[in-house]
Amino acid sequence: MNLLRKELRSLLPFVWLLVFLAVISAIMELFEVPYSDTLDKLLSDLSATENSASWFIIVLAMTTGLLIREYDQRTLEFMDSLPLSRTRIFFTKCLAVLVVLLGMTLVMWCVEILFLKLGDDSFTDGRRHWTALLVAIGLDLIRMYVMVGIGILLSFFRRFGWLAAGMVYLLYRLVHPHVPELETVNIFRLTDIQVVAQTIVIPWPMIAAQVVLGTICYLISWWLFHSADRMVHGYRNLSLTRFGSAFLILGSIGIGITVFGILLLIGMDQETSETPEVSSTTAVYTDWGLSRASSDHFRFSYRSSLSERATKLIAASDEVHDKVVEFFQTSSGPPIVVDATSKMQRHAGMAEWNTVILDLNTSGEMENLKAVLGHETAHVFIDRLTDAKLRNIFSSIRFFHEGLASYVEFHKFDPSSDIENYYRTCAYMRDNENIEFEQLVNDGEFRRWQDTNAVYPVGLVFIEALLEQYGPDSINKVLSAMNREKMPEDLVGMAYWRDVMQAAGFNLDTVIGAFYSRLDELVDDRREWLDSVPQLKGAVRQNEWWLCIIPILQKMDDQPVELAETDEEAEQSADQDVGKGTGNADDEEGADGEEDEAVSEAEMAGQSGDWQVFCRFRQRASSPDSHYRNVRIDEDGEFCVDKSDYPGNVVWYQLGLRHDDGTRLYKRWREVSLHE
Amino acid sequence: MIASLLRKEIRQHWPLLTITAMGVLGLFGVMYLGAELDESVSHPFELLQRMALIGAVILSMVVCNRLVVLEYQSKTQLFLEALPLTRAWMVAMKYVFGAAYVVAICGMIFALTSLLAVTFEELTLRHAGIVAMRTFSFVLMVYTFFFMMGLLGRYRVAIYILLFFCFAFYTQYTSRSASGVPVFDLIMSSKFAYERIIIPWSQLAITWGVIGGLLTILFSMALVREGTVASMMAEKMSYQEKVFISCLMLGISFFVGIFVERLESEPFELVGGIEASEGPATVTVDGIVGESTAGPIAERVVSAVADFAEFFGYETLPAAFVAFRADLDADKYEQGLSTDADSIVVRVNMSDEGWDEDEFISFLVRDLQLAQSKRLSHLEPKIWLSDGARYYWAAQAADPLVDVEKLRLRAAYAADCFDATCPDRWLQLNDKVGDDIVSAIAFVGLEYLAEEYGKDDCHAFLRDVLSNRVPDDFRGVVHDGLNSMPGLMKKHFNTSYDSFCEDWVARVHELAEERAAELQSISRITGQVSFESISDESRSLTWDVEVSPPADVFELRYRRLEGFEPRSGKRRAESLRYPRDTQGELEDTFTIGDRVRTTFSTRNDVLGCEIISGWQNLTVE
Repeated sequence: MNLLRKELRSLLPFVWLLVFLAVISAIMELFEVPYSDTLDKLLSDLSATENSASWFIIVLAMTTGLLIREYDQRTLEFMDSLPLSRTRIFFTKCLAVLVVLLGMTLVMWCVEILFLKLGDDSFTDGRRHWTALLVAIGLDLIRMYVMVGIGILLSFFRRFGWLAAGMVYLLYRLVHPHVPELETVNIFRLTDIQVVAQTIVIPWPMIAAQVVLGTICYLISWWLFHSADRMVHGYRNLSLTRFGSAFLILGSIGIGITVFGILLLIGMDQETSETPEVSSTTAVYTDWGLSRASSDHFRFSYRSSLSERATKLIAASDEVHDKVVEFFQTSSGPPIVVDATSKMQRHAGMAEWNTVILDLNTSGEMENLKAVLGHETAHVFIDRLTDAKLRNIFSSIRFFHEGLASYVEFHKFDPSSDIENYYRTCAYMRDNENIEFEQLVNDGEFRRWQDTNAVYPVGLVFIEALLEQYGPDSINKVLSAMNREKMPEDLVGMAYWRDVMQAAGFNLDTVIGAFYSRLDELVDDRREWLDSVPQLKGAVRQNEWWLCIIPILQKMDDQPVELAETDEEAEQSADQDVGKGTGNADDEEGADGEEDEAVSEAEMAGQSGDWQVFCRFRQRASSPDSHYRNVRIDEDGEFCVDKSDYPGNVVWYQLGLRHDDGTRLYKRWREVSLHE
Repeated sequence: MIASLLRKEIRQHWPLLTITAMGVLGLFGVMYLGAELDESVSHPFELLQRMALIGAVILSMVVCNRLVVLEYQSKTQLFLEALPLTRAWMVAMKYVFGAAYVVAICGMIFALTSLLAVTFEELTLRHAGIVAMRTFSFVLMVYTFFFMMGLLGRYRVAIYILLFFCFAFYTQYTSRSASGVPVFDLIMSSKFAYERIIIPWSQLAITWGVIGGLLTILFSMALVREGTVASMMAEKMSYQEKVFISCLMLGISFFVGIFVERLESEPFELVGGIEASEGPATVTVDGIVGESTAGPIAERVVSAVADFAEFFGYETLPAAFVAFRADLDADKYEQGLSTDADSIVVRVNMSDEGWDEDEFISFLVRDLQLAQSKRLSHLEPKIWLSDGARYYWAAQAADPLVDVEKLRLRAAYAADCFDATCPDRWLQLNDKVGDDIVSAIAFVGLEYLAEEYGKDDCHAFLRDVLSNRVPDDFRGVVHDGLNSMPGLMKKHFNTSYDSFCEDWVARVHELAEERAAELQSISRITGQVSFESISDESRSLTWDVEVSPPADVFELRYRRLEGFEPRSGKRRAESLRYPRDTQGELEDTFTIGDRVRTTFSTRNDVLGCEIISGWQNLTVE
């Protein structure tokens, strides 16, 4: 007990710090609008990565000197002379830190709950709320337990502990996209709250993995403190010498690179095993020489194997440029660099500042390539006219950027794909109430529910509505408003658009009204076609290992449609028609794996007339497109995934319909919680 | 002598510096591989951009730690000062040695990325030069900063924390982004890899200015008082001192952001709107409907709002902006977005034939009242006052804006749902009968008070409760706690709250009895929603509805509820025709555990409002 008191006393400065933070936080809440806290908001704050990161820094600071200080100040010899075992000392120190941190956590929760309860009304389900709060508090406490364990272990590395923590985090960020299962040990994700049916989904696998991880850290630390004095002293002496420091840094970096390499190989193996066999191959001769050529407004580089195609495009490029310049009513500017050497998985083209990246393999049709070049050149000019400021708020303007470029593509050029497909996509979405402007201006929220590529057609319709409402000068006025001096830089979403439209001399509500009116026109004009689109529903089935989505197609007369095997013709058609989207470089999660989709669509089971069904899955709402998994239909007519690939205990799925004419229609993303 | 010193530094530090350099170059290799796999980099210079940010920091921290921190901590600089070399030269030599090291490593990375860039495009000297200027200016600035910080000795960590939080608050509490700071924009700009023509002179000048300033500070610290300042600061901090300094820095940094100037967005403006003002009321109507339409609307509405303000004693009111939306029905009003507390935006379709200006004014004044007093929107026991006050005022006006008989009929319509406990569960009553009917019930309550206790007392009561003099923070909470409904009833009417509620219920039931015959002819909508299994876990929603007497058109409204909120989620509606669609199935499907909120609704012309079957919150099982 004396030892515990002594340890708590030494932690007093941190206690004051935490009390200070809690008091500041409470004071700030007192002067906010009361009753604004809801349980959902509280849980959302807990889920924020910043919350975990802040606590981790505090924990590291507290644990850094906890044990090592005894070595450095040579007080350990004194403590050894007392009738106290090393184990007891270790246990007491850990207990002291945990008491402080867990205690402060509980105090802060009490304050939050107090403010929360001020907003209770007759709808408040007390029992559910308290259950959820207890679960959330439990997760928070477990997180603290794990963080302290890691912090104590890192403390033995002294100043290199921070370096080690940083390196581990960096490695995790690099490897995780290839090995999703690593998320199980991400301590920042433990408090990522998922709610289903007013119940918090408890991530048991994650809890188990991290508690084990934390306990292992405690055990290793105990062993080092109990039995490895020589090692600890040796490390200390090593770290103080030149060669020792060098050895430690080299060793850390070497270990990091080795682990990264191993995990990367594991990830690549997994991706290889999951990639479906492609029935046809496209050969790309990457050893062909690089050629360069210039026009008045472009500087091209391309592979010699495609010189004929490139030459034709170069010859037509200035015409493309002039059309874009004419549309934007601006001047030419410096030449645009075009890299036509890339073969991109997910895009036909991309644009950066004064740079266009083009995939000449997309199409042999010159009109199509001109349209792609026109699309990307439009992106370049949008960037020029806004001095690349839109890059900082791309989430709020992505639909505008892509819509404007698509408008140029379809109205100034003659691409092989039909604008009618875009209109049909919009009509279908509008008819199903899947277009909300408030969602459109928040790309993260939009991607949460809709197909990410839907911003192209919807954005195009928005531009059409804007031009119809305010005339041909409206685009430039909006771009000028976006580029004006002293524009607040922290506006996002609706606030940003309200500000921009107002600065341009327009009313946002008028534009939104015109946008919805245009969409309604598209719906009215395509009523017959919309009525011919089969209704698609998804039914969920799962067992211990698999989650399956059963597509149910119904015609307008409510008669179900039998799913049939795909015939060879449809397979070939799907293989050939690998339609790709064009993208802005910031639109890095543009069109998803089109080739995978083509393969799975080719193997889909189920046709309603000319319609085919497909399904894709993702781990979480914020998963990038590159992590979407297109799944082929099985012999039972179901789309199934292995539940072990989803450690977060929820799966998102999205069903879609694809027509032989290339039209793709997506249902909303749906979230399903996993259970046995 | 300088050459000897250089040799000494190399001999002393070459292992660690070599390893660090290898580590940074290895990290570059790893990032290059990762970028190749992810296709996350469009140009090799983007890799240089990332490495300049990370590598400059790592290299600078390591080399400055070796050259400065350890030297001063172990006080070996005293030995160097004993040599026939001025302190200034000694510091300068260290600075240049470290700078050369950092620049050399970054230079290697620059060279590698340039080689890669040559395969990407025709790399011009100007392009490479611009990238080089950006990179090395930033790298030198970072290095100089860490060199200077090294001289701050034991306080450097505390100052790192302070700077970090100051920067975080700066970006969070002002309207500026990190890349908006010129020295960071040099390296963080999206144009970094692609700007081939324009040299960023102003940013470079600022960066080099910062370098000059940092050099001045570091030389001052190293030389002042014969270098004793730097020497003293290099002594290690005690544990308690570390924590104290951290707390102090953190507390200071919290308040830094508050006093930095914000870039504010322009106040909301309805471009082309027709504005009218009277007293504290300002109303702007969208001019897109034509001045001949918007002008009279603005005049009449502002006059009504001014009267409303005077009635409730409001000295200030938010400005009201009435925006036109062609996609709305005449009787549908939407709240728009306003970015400040001093205005509200309402979207309406005032050019539609069915537009009812009086009904709109009743809606608008309630919105203004709620905007004025946010706490009322959450205090359930007092919400009924806000609901009823607008109709009470509208009925008191010299030219009444509401048909009082219709309000009484609406209240009578819902008599079966209303009992003495309802005022405390007002939101639940609202769920049962809908906004329009619940407001009518509230109006009847106020009408009763006026009749029973006098209009003046009722007026004073409303002004007391609905005033906007109490702040909308914890002081409002305290005030509301001290002024509960029972206390207010006692104060103004010398009656108990319970007995008022009973009398109120009796009044509503009395109205129902008086209008029984008329109520018989008014439609009632009842509906049943159920879930049918389509798989182990999925359900489809089916409905069965009855509207008696029949109405032509009705709606099934539903929301998917998320989280724990009882009324959240986007509202969806299926428009249905009676009797064709009395039974049906939604295209949407639901999974076990989903929560759905549903009601049926239709418009009733006799009541002049919408009636609903009552919202239900269901969990799919």
